This record gives sequence, structure tokens and C-alpha cells, in this order.
Amino acid sequence: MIKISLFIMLFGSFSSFSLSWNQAIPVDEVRNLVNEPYLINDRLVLKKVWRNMVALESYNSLTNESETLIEFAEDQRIDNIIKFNDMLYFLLKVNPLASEHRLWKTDGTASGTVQVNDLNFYGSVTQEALQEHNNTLFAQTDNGGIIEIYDNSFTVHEVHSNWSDFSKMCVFGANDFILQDFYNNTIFRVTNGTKVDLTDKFPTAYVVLNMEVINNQCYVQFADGIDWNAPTDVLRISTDGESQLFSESQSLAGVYQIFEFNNQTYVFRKNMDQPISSSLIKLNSDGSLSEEMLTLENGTYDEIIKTKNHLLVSFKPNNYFEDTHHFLINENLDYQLTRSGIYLELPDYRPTLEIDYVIYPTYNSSNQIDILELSNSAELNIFKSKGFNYRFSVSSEFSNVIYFGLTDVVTNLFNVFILNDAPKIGISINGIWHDPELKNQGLFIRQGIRNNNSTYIFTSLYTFRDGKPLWLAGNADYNQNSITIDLYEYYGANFLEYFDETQQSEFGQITIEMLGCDELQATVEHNNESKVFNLSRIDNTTYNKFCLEQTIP
Amino acid sequence: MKTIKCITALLTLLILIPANSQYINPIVDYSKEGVYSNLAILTDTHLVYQAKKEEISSLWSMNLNSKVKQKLFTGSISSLKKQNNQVYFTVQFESNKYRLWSSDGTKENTQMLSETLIGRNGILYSNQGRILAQNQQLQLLQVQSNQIINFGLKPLTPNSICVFDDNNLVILSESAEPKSYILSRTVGMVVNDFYQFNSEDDITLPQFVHSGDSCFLSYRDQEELQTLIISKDGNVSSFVQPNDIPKISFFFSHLDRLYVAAGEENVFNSIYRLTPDLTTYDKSASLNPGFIYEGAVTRNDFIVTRVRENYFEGRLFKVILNADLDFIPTYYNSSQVTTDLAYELPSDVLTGFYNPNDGVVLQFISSNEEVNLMRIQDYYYKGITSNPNSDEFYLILTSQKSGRTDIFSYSDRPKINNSIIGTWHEHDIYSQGLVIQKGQRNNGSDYLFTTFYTFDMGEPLWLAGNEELLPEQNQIEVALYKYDGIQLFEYNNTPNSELFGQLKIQIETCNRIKTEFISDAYDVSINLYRIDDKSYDYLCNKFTPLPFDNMPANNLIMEQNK
Repeated sequence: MIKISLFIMLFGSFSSFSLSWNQAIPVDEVRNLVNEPYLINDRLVLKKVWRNMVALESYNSLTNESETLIEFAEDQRIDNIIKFNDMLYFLLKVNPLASEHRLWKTDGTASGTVQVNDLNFYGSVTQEALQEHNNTLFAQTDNGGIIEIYDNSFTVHEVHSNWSDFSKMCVFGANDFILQDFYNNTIFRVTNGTKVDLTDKFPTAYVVLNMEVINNQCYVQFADGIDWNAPTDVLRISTDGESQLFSESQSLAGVYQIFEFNNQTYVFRKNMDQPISSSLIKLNSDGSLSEEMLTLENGTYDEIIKTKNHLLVSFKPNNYFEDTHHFLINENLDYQLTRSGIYLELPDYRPTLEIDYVIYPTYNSSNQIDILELSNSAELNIFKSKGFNYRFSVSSEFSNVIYFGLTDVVTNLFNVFILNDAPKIGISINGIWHDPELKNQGLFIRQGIRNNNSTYIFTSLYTFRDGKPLWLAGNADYNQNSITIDLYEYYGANFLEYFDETQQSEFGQITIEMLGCDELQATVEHNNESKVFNLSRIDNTTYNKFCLEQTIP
Repeated sequence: MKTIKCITALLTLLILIPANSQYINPIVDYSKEGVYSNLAILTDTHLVYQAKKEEISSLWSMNLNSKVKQKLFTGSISSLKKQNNQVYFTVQFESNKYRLWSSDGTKENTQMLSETLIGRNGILYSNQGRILAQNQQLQLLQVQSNQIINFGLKPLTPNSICVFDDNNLVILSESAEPKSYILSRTVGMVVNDFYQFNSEDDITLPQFVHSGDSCFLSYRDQEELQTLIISKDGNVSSFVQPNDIPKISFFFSHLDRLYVAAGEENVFNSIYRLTPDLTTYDKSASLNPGFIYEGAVTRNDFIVTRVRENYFEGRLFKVILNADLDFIPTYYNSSQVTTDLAYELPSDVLTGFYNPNDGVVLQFISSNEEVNLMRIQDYYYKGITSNPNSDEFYLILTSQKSGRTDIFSYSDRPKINNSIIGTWHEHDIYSQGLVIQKGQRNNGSDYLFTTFYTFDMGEPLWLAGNEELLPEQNQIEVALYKYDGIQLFEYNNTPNSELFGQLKIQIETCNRIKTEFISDAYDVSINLYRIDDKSYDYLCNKFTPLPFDNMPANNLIMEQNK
């Protein structure tokens, strides 16, 4: 039999990790969670489904308290959930036989979950039934009326649109918006209740692709025909009703996407020269061309993500089998390549109060998640996680916390995690810890979850006194970053003797704090002296997955 | 000098789990092997299975005795089949190019059989000591003593094969235009067509049944059921069915007797055992009206039938009979799809079910027709891999909590896995206990590190030991050492070490371990219990007996025997 020297199995080298996954929510709280939650006022709002019942619950990870917002009820439906002004709006259908949808809102607390008004709303499982544009929330009544919703009031516009595509709207201000009637294929403007048809400004066959208000100009991007490869065009409509078709301007022909960045209007234009190139162009406030900023050849700009200080732009090649590139462009229009790959899809963008996160999951069994941190100072940090499959992430611009729904690839169990600079007291503290120069002495730490769901840390310390072996033990409940445990020594019994009373005397205290994935600081107070031990984990890869590795951008 | 002390374990306050509870333990180690990937076979000596990690598939084996695992092959495989205690599999080595490999479960005896390119359908047939495959020209190949024999010339797409001997096979293949079936026969190394018939049934493919010196075939033509008997020398004729049975739907063979499912007006709700001369029958079993036999397999002494409610897309049931066509009580469970009927163990027949109320249910039928049911919650049933020569069998289950499908061993004690991590003690031995940590080193090996905090003549004593951990162990022996000779938290001074004794740890239940400590001074056997911790409850799952009482069952389906 091979004898292995105890406590001298060194972990190869200390690795410096900058971020750690820490479990944010007890497993029981995310049971029956079906879709990604919403973050409202530091509360995660969770839609849960059990059998044919649905409920809305919230969990405050700061106080570890959960609340039921809408109780489980049979055949109840909660659809069209949308976050607006740090409130969550949703349509609640309580009667399965009637098509009655009522608008509710919640601030994440039970007392703050209320029905907004008595109107009956058009409802569907899609998001189109509730939409936010230009800081105004819109909905539709079941008889075609358009509703502008404010905190404590609402305006109903009886425009009798058969079915409006709410995802495409230009909102100039209160009681002034442009909307497409999808069923009749008309576009109209509603100003203080007056409906004006704008359809004659468009070609006879058109398909609206996008509508956006930038600097008081409504830009309607449309396809000039119903074929999938029909040329695209843009109609600009100003608040005073003046309009301009981009295809009639030589410099603006070929524009296919308009967006706002840093209070400026930008467009992507496809240049039909050879090889086909694409340009990023800045427009003047009246919609005329200001300057060409950046032209790239052999492809076209595609989708964008707007972070606080950056544009993340996807550049697709003309050849389908070549790599798509993602560029990060700052406000000075300096750009750097962040990622390339065939069929590369846009990452998830999650803004928080101070840091913007861009998340690239890999949906294959490599289980890698790349997280780009973009701070307000425009600094870019990239972290790599291995060992979890990504299900969702959720953030709020009112909070610095970002939550990740991850599935452990070893256990395949799902949980919700937050990112911290160092591991908190949790599952990754489990194990045996030692200082290689403290020969044959060590600390065993075990996180346990009692059957009543409370968590505790049990620690036992193996050392010597006056040449004789000495062990110390203690345990304590925890819910914090570090933990202090009273240590006791025991004596007076015999080896495995039943009913052999032991005496206990307090040895001192141990305070444990995790510094990194495999680094731990233990401070032992004994006889009015304090000793600090920097301990490393005895070779064990089980918990490596809780640490993210920083990579060079 | 210390005296040897024998300490008797006290009665525990916990309620003992019934002895016949059975624990399951996942086989595939994610960190080394990845996730189970659909193919598993049990030979007499090895469990062979496919796992996938980071998009790369590998074939693994576990020695049933030593539980040592080996990676046999890295790459994409399909058509894993077993014959004569060897596994055969097809390997795709380039786009649309496949070769035949075999393995006895060891890395050194895993080899490519031939450079011959085989067809994408891989292995067509494995039975009676034969492996049949096709080459890329769709010609038939037979593997004998790991050599590939080419039957040559005629391309075939076999639906069913009847093997009389090594050089006498009858092959049923489909002809596209006009839609018909062709019977071909190998004579020497040449394949010749010798019979053709039409069938317009697109749903049920005709399958040979081999009984005695003949092969039997049933098929449907113009809505009429037809039957054929094919002799060893290639004669084909309509099977003359006994006058006292209705129209035959399908044949099957069991213990050297020919059975038929039959009925009037397409309601095939009776099975008949024909007499050896095939002129009449001596046993029959009928289903109640509204149910029909759709198929049958034979396992050990029993016949396992697939029964369908006789209406469009009716539910499916398993109904089990003995050779004399007496109904064996069967767990009553229906599904829309039942492809998995039953498996053979050395003495039992085993079949599995899933029901939302009971979870996964296993039914064991012993050779003396004793029936036992076991059930486990929180899983879906996927299948079983078993071997008539092995007492072990492995379950393929999908966890409802994690959604992962895995192969599980089935045993009366839990295996050592992460659930052993923790602190263990006996309530009545105060302030003493065992701390166990399982870890995986950076080199991928697993270990169990154990510390024992106790006393010696009133003074505190701690012992520690470390041991390698292999898969599927449910007990382990750790050498425990005592250390002394240095001061409190003294740096850079190595204490004296001395072997104190051997600690045997055996897992009894999820929260109870049996320990035996043996040294010059002590011989102690004691049960230890887990200090309240449910962190690893998800790893501890067991089948418990399910009473057969109150099963509504079989009366709905089965009529009395004739």
C-alpha cells in the first residue's frame, strides 16, 4: 500500500483569481422557476410554474427574505412581463374562460403589487402587448385602443387599430406617437387624440423593419417590397410633419440601420462598390450626412449593443462561411476586435449601476462563459468561467449586483449566483486546509445544510501541545463573508468509549476568511494572543469551478 | 501496555431501512469522462459505455470485478452490439466513412477489424454468435473469429435475417419500385434471390421468426394477412395454419415451440402455442375485448408482450406470460410509446416502467414466477443494460431534478461518492467523531482523507489517514497515523508519526456508515451517523419495495386462460 505523507500534498501553485461565483439564493427558492427572473429594487422577481399553476414570488438576496407577490392558482396566467421605471408590469389573467387581462405592477414587495386600473387589456403570451418607448409605457385595449400608462394615470386613445405592432413605434412625447396598424398595413400618427394617416409617404408595398426616435426625428426603416431580399430604405419624419426618403439622397442611399449613441445619430450604410463595404456614418440633427466615420470592406455591419460608453458592433462577412467579427467602439470611435467566429451571435448585455457586463456563453459541452466587464472608466476586463452552463443573467441599472442562473456541469444542478471579488463562506470552503510549513497540522472545514435549511460551518483543527496531539473543534451558523467560531478543546474520555463524559474548555476563537479559491486566512485567538495563518487547500480540483480566471483582452 | 478492548455497538435510535432497499450510484464521472451518451452494453466482464465531454465522444469500459475504468476509444461511434462477450461498434473516421471495430472491454484488445469500409447502417444483426454488417456497396459481411467474410456481389438492404448456419442465411430485403419484398439466400459465398412478395404495410416491417428447421414470416398484402414458411433448403410456401385458430397476426418462438398471435377481424387478442407438428395448439391466452397483441419478445422462461388498446393511437401496456401462457401479474402502467420490453438476468426477468405517481418502477420475475416491484421517485425510466450471465445490471435513468441521463449501478448499499463527505459520529460517544473529505487531485485521481478526533486515556488524540478511491467502492480501508512531538502551531518542525491502526469504512445507508477500527490495542466495530447535513441528499437515492396490492391492473386487460 502506498503511504502518503499527510498534510504535505501541496497544491502546485497559488493562482490569482479575481472573481468568484457565490451562491445567491437557497436552492429551494428557485425550484419551479421557468424563465429568467427580473431584478427590481434588489429583489429578484421569479415566475414559477408548478403543474398547471403559476405564481409570482420575490427574493431579496440582501436580507434573504422571500415574499409571495401573486399566489399559485390553477389556470391563472401571468404574461407580458416588462420592466419599466424599476417596476415590473404584467398582465394577469385570472379567469381561464374569459379573455380578461388586467394590468398589474409590482415593486418586488407584496404590498407593492397592485392592479394598475380596471381596463381590460389585449393579452398574448408575446411581449408585444406591453411595450416601452421613449420612457412611456404603452398597451392596447381589447377593442383596439392605445393606452399610455403613467404612474398613477393613463390615457386611452380610441384609434381603433385592429392590431398594432407595439415593438415598432415612434414616440415624440405625451399624446404624440407614430404607430403601425399591422393588420391594415397602415402607419398613422396620433397627436392629442387626432389620428393622421401617413401611409402615402411610403411605397405601395413596404414592410416596416424598425422605428426609432432620435433627436426628435422619427426614423422608419422599411423594406421596399415583401421579398426577403428587397432593398431597404428609411423615411425620416420630423415632429412638424416634414419627411425625407433616404433613397432620394445620394449620400444616404443604402442606409439600413439608424441608432443613437452619445446623443448623436448614427447610421450603417451598405456601399454597393466592390468589394461590398459598409460604413458607420454620423448624421446631423436634421438627418443630413455629417461625416463617414468607419468603413470596413467585405461585409456589413449588423446588430449592435449600446453600453454606457461603448458600441459593440457585429460585422458580418459577405461570404456566409467566413468569420463574423465583433468590434468594441468607444466614444472616440476607436475600435478593438473582441471576438471572431462563424455564426457568432451577439452576447448578452447586462448593465449595472457602475459596470456594464457583456456575456458570451458557449452552448456546447466546453462549458465556458466569458464575461467582459466594462467599467465607467471604459476599462475592459475579461473573465473566463469553466464548470457551469449558462442559463441566464439579470441585472438592473439601479444596482451593482448581477445575478447568473448557472447549471453545475458535474452535478447538473441549477442555482443562482452572484459575482464577488473573493469567494464568500459557502460550499467552496469545504475541505482540508494547511500551511506547508506547519508540518502535519491542518484545518478541516465543512459547510453543512441542516434539514431545517439553516447553514453552518463545522471546523476541526489538528495540532499539538507540549508534544502531544491536540484537536480543537467548533461550529457556527453563518451568512456573511467571514466567520468567527468558538474553539473548544475536549479531554477526559477514552478511545471510542460509550457514555464517557468529556470535559470541555474554551481554547479561543478562530476567524476564517476566504481570500481566493485555494487561499484562506485563519486567525486564531488563544491566551490573548492572535496568530494569523495563511492556508492553502490540499490538492483538490472539486471547487475550481467557483473561480473565474482573468484573461488578457 | 494497553489491553484489547471490544466495544459493542449499541442499538441505534434510527429506524433501519428495510434490507431490500436498493441504492443507485451514477457510473459516469463527469470530470473525467463527461456525460453518458446513449450507448451502454454489459458483457460478462465489463460495462462498456459511451460518454461525451467537450464535444468529444469516447468509449469507456468498467471492469466488473476491479471496477477499474479504461478509455477504449476516442471518437464517434455507433451501433454498439455484443456477441460472444465481445462488443462490436462502427467508427466514423471520415465524413460518411465507417469501419468495424471490436473490443473485449480492455484497451489492449480494442482494435479495428478491417480496413473495409462498412455502410452507414453499421451492424445489422447480432445473434447466435454472429455479427452481420454491410460494406459500402451494401454487400453483406459476416464477422467470424474477428475476421470479416464478404458474401459478395449482391447489394442488399436487409430488414430481417434468418440464420440457419454460417453459410445459409435467408435475407428479407425491401425493393423500392415496385414496392415489394425479396427473399435472398446465401449459398456458399453468393447471394441469390429466390422469392418475391408484395406488401403495402408501411408501418409494420415483416420480421423472420426462426423455429425448428424453418423460418416464419407474416406480412400484410391488400389488407390481407399472409404467412410464409421458409425451409432450410430454400423452399417457400404459405404457412397452413391450424383450423382451430383464427387469422395469424405474427409469429414468435419460445423454448423450441412456435407461438402465434391471432384473432378475427383484425382484433388479435389471443396467443396460441402450436403443437410441435404445427397442426393445432395446446395452450392459449386471450385479452379482454378492446386490447390486442402487437408484439412479443421472450426473456428467460417468459414471454413479454406489447399490448395496445384497440383504437386509434391507443395506449400501450406490457403483459407478461409464462411458456404455458399463464398470465404473470404485471405492474399496470400505460404509455404512448413502449419500445423497451424486458431484460434477462441470470435467474430473473426484469422490466421497467415510469408512472408519475410511483416514479420509476422495476418489476422482477423470478424463475419460480415470484414477482417483486421496486420503485424510485424523481427519475424517468430510460432503459436497462443487463446480461444473462451477470448478476449485475445497470439502469439508465434521467434525473428529474437535474435533467441529466446517466447509467446507475443497483446495489444493496450506497457506493462511496461525494455524499460521504462530512462529519460522522455516534450520539452516545461524546465529543468524538470522524471527518471525511473526498477530493479529486489535479491529476484526476480521487482520494479519501480521513481525520479521527478522539481521546487516549483522557487526553485528546487525533489520527489521520489518506487512501486512494476507485469507482464503485462501497467500503474502504484507511491506515490511520498518530502524530506527536511538537508544540502548538510550531513551524518547520516535523512531528513523529506512528501507525495507530486500520480503519475500515463501509457505507450502510446514506446517513450511516459502519466503521471497524483494528490495531494492536483495539478492535472496535461501530456505526456512525452523519451530523445533520442534507447537502448531498441528491446523491443518495434508493429503490424501495412497492407492494403489489391494489394494482388495478391486469384484470382490465386479461381474460382467463383457455
